[in-house]
Amino acid sequence: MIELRNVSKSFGATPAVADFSLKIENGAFFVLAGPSGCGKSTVLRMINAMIVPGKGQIEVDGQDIRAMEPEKLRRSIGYVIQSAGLFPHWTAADNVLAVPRLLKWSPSRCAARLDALVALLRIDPALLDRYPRQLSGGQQQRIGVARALAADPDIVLMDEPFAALDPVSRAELQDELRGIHARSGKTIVFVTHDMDEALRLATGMAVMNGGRLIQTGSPASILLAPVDDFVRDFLGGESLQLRLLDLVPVEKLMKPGKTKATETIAAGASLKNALNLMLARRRSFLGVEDASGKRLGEIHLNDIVARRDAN
Amino acid sequence: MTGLCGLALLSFVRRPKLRSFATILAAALILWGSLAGAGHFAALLMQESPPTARASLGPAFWTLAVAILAIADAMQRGNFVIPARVCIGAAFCAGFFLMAAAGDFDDLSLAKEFSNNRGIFVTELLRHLGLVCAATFFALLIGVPLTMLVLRKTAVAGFVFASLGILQTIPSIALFGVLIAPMSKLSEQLPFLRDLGINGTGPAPAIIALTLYSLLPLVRGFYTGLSEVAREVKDAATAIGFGARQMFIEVELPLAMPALLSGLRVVTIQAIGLASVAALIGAGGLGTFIFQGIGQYALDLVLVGALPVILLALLANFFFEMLLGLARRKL
Repeated sequence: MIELRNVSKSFGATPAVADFSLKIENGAFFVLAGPSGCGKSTVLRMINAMIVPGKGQIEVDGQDIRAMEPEKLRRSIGYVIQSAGLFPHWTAADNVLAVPRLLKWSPSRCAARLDALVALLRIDPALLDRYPRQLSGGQQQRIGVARALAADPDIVLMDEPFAALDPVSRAELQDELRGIHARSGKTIVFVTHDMDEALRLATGMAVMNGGRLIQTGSPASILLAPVDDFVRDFLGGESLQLRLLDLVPVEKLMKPGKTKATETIAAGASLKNALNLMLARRRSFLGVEDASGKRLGEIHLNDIVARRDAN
Repeated sequence: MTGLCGLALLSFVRRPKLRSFATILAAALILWGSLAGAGHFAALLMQESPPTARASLGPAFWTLAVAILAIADAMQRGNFVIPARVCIGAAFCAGFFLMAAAGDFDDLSLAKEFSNNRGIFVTELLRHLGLVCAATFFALLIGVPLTMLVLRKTAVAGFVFASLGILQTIPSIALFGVLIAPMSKLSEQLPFLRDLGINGTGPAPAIIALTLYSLLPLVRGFYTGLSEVAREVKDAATAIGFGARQMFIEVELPLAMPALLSGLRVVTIQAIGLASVAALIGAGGLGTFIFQGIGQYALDLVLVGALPVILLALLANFFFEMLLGLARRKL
């Protein structure tokens, strides 16, 4: 668990974070969201002692981080930044193994861990001997994520890791990361200013503005009840209702039974995907299939609308 | 002549590797042609002259310099691998020494001046190298901590660079001269310095002056190199748990290496040139021949000092080129 209590930090005269308190439970995929300069990166960097707070207290697993050696703390927490920050003079494999080597793992243990990470992140083994400049942005960031996970830390901090990627690589890596989180049960603290990304990934989130915590809760609870106009605008103003549909899978509203529907959608797709498909194909209902293509039931436009009304 | 025409025509060849290769061949033609021709004609002239007569090289002979530059440039452009460059360089040197050993140049006045001074030439060459090495060593000894200071405390950076900049603008002869007075005072006051051979003249003030000149390019090169290591790379290194020492050794140093070597190259080549002036204050070195030659209006004696200085500088440049190539391979 990560706990921040009444943390403040100023750079010179400008306060970056003011009286900030937050609890992040173990196993959460916690997203810190907010506009540029709201202090979200500062909060993230305070968790691994890259920035020392002016006031307040930060605990990781019940231990005050001021009592820990910063290097030791950082080696126990994974970290990914936007531009990957790979060492340009090291091969991809050496980059991935940076922390295990700092921790003086044996070569055989390093090799075994590298194999596991290559499998976990579906890295093409041919890339391992290349230098970062020989990799695409998406490949670099994949290596960056592998480096963060290398020493199997319980906590991983990510500072806008996918912001510079093209939409395809970004979506791919988001899916990958969500899968890894679900399987590993690691605590991930993820900073982004991209609302779609936040909603797609978060199990819990905090919205920040001007160095303060404005609202915290599950993505759905924040979408349903934004505390003020800032949060409402940040969540997307008029498209807020559509965003909410993005959070609910089709199977939640599916009606079982046989259907003559000619257009079908996967059960795991979101209601927003379903609505999109209905509009595109001019249908008021769709068939629902599971991953193997087996027909499960159908979903109706009326149910989507009614569900919204029920809210 | 053929070689020169060839060189001119070659600018029309399109493929760079081929062009570089052919350029080297054409330049080699000029080089050997000029050398052999000079030796041959000197021998012809000297047949009928008294033994004190001298056959000097005319200005046309110096197309040779163009040829050497063309070779160096071609190797650079052709992006030849290091072993290839070493082989080409060695082949030229070997050819030259073979011709010299065969006595092809014996009748040239340059060769006569050289053989008259053969005994002290090696001494002065070694002394010259000694001055350069000592100055570079002391420059590193002072420059590295100074760079660290400037990197840590940006407030003093302006002051340090301004002071070093002023040092750099003092003309070399003036600096050598200015050092004589305080240095001789110092050695009068402290006898142990005198016992070490440190005086107002001689190698000590020369090394001090050369070191002072080396500091600015060295510190500036090192400072630029280390401060230009990408911020996000250092940031990432800190974030995943590198300590300050590990960061320096494993991240900053290798990434700044090309800039560090470039700084060192400038310093070494500059010291090779400036050390010639040190002869004026009795520090010896190849400058001895140059100033003797000027004093006696014996231009070929000047060349006995000047040509090795140029060759040394070229060699040093080549050496650092090689190291740079190795350092850049991974970047």
